[in-house]
Amino acid sequence: MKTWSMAFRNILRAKRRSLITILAMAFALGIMVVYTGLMDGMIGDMKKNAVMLEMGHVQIHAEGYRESPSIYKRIQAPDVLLERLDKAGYTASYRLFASGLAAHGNSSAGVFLRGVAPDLEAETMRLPHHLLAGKWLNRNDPKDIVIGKRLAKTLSASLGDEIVIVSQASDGSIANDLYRVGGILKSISEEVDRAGLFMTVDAFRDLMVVTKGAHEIVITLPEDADLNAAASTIANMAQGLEVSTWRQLNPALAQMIDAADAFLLPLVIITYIAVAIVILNAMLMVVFERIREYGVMKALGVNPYEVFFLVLTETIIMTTAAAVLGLGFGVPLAFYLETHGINLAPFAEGATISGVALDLIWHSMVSARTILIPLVTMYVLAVIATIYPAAKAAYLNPVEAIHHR
Amino acid sequence: MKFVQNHRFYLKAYTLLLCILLFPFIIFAEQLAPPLPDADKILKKIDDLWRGESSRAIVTMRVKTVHWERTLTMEIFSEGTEKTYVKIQKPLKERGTATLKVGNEIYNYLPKTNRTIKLTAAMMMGSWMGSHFTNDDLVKESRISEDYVSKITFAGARGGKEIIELTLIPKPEAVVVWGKLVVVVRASDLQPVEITYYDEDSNPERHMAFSDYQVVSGRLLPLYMAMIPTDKPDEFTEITYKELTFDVSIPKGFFSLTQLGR
Amino acid sequence: MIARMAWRNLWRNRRRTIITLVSIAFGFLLALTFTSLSDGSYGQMIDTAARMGTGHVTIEPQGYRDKPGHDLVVRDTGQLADEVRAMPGIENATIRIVGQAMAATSADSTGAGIIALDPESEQGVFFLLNHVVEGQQLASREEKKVLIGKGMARRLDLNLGKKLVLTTTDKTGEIVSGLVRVAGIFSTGVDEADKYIIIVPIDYMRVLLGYSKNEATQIAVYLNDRRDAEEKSHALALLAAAYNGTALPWSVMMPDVAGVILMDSTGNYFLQVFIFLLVGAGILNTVLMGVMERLREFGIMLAVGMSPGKLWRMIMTETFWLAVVGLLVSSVLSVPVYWYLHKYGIDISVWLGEDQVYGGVLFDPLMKAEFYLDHAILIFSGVFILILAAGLYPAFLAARTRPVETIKIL
Repeated sequence: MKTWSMAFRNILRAKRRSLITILAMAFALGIMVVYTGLMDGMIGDMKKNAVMLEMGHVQIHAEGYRESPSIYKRIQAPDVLLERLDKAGYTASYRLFASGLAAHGNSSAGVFLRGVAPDLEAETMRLPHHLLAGKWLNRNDPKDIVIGKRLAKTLSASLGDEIVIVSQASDGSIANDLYRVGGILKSISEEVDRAGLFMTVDAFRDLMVVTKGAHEIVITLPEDADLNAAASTIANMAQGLEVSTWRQLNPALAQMIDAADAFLLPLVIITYIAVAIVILNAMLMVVFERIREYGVMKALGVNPYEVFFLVLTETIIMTTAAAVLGLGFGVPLAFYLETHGINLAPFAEGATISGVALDLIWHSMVSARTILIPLVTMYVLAVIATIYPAAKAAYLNPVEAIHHR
Repeated sequence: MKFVQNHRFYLKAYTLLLCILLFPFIIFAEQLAPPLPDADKILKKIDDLWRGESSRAIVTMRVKTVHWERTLTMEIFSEGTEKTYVKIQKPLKERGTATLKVGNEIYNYLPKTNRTIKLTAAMMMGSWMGSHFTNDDLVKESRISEDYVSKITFAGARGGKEIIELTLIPKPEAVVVWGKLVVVVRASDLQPVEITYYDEDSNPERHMAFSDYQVVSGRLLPLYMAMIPTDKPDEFTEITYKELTFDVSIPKGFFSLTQLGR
Repeated sequence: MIARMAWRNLWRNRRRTIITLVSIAFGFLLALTFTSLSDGSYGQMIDTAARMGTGHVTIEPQGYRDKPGHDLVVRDTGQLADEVRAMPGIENATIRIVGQAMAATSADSTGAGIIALDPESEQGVFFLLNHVVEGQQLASREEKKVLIGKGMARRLDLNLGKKLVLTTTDKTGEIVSGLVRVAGIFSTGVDEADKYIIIVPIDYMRVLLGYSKNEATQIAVYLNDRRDAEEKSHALALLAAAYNGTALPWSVMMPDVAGVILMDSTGNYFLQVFIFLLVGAGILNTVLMGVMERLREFGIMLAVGMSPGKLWRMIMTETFWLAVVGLLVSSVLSVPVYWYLHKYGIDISVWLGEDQVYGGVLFDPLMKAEFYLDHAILIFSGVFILILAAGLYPAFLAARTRPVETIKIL
């Protein structure tokens, strides 16, 4: 107890010095909390950007559909499965696919027809929100379609234009009907830009004479769910069907994100070293500066352990004050950045890429981890930084210490 | 890129054009007589004989795949090897759907949407899902004597019938996917019996059979043909001639886009 | 006078100065490493993308972007490519024809992306050529032989020497087809490439499409410095205009790659700001402490008659010396660190799954540092300004203190 009160008094005595030290540490901690959150958020955002565009976390297909797609390889009872998935806490929707030909005026192009549930897609995926012009599909306007950016150019089609779609229906008959361009997408991916044509599920069933089944079920997982665990749970529900995670669906993308993640690690380490230097520096300065004081204490007969613990206690008190302050500004800032994010768009060079469906808003991701790691790091660093000078102070020769400069 | 791979969505109606395939054999069979003719000459004659001919036919086509089976009735007009016009009569849902082939180009008229669409290169080459032909056959088979070197590889009794077997090997530069074609004709009247298409490793890929030989407009020819892909023995496409008239007079401008939508 | 006095002051308390110098040097080093590692890895990504795709800058026919088709060509590409190569900062330029076709065999048919090129000049330039696993490379520019991917070979049931028919639309819109044989099979591990791309000799493609001898649809331009892409594309566009061509940087050609890199790198610049803040805080802390410790000394100086202005100038000069020495030390320390990171890099494969390292096409798991002079100058002057700024407040504090009070503090 005596050590504590003495430590407090010491700190208060040199108010300005202590304040500078505490402020420096608090600043470092706050920055670290925000930084760690942003770092987690960056990879999270990249994944979200990629996965939530249209791919979803997990997809279910009929056996063999992915290897060689065919309109006949369908999931037989998607409703039952969707209900089961819903009960398990997953958000899921289904899609139907076919190839066809779209024509407008004298232009025609091969298209990839996608029948989707407009509302569910809009709720779970980002694609429906990335329209260059017009609006997304609506259940009540089954004749409205949404097409890719380059497809619109190839067909010389603009909003409101009528487009013929021709294909072979699943009963072998000629599927053909007129649709209206209700929306044109921004750049999504090579395939969607060039050949993507979205229509409502009802319109698709009508056109292609597909009364039952679905080609794809797309599942979105809750924020913190483990991908592989969820995939195996889902695989159990979907016996006899192919369940694939987004990593399996797009390994190149997964690899790219992993690489970006791995690239970040050395950078994180560098940042932590920078923080360590700030803290070490602050503590070293504060202890060395007071070596004379410790010398006096030693001369007055205080034993080395007590000096050592006194110095350490001072460190812990100051670190705690810094923790309160640092978390005080770091955590709210991190949370602010989690909800609002940093809009990178004005900073990004080459505004030519504005057409790409990228959310250039960088969100922080705050979790216990992103707060605790910096906090623990600070305490550890502060203590380490103190041990050497504290030990030195404890075993000082009083005379030398008093003359220490 | 997924869609391109799936590009075998060929419009049903295009298959109807397969029927032209039939004609070369019909004609050449009728014109030839024993003794054994030279194989090359037979094939040359096919092309020559076809030129300048015109015809009108009513045909039913039955296509069976693993997933569906359907029968179409259609009216076909043709002039030479270059011009063909096909119009669907039945089923009602597709009535009026018309296809025009002029040279290498194919147009399709869709009454439901009142639109005419030109077949693109990608659609020309791909095989049509569920069908057992490629659209390319329409263009290519009419130049059979240009693309293949042929010889008689068998003559005599087979399965109790006197036949002549011709083997057609594509010329090295010929733009054909097949490794070889084996054509079997009846020795008595040179009517076609079957054609088998092989890949480069001599594995059969598809098989075409002819039957129901009858005299139409003074010519003997088979009124029934069926195509079976070797890898899908349960599937087939069969074509039956209900009516057939040769040397009909077709008005000028009949094979035109303006006429297509009428 | 002040300069010398400040210099002497600096070395009167050696330990404090050394701590400060170390903190400056470390700060500088960290900022430099951070920036050069980031620059290096983005550069790597861009170069990989450029090699997999269509160069750092792509010359293509005007209007091609909006409506790609075989009817649009760049004229006299041979001459244009020569002119491009003669420009400063250009590493290489290769002529290609890109397009689409249906590829068919007796077994099946599929859509294909055609890349027609001159095998000789593309060797070591176009990445697919490095991944031929069966058979041979293309031997000439006109032979009717092609390279196909493993995925396509499986789908079309093709082996070496077997034939396939390519059908496409020629320059005038006519449907044309040609027979080619398989010379080699490539496997990259990238599904899209292995299932979709066919590499065709360029002169054969010209014949098929009805192009004249020097017509093509693309010139892939590789630069010495990838960062010039934007600027060079303007110059190249001016040059290409006479040939019915225009030029686009890789960021327009590959918007998705550009998107990921843009997102990542922009985020990174923010992180660099953090590093600077931290480095700044460290420097401010040490300089501030140094002044605080010497307030008594300053008090005496003021009491003895030194003007506050002069004191201010002296402390600022001290800070200036600190900055000079600090940056000198930093620069010396940086050389070996940078050299190591540039030459050997950091192997991040430890943090990647095994399979991804062997995938190998997309990423080099070695993260190497790269030195951009402008970034280095930015860091250099940044740190310099930071140190001076850190001295401002303490100098002001020292100059403002009243002599007697200051002495009383301690």
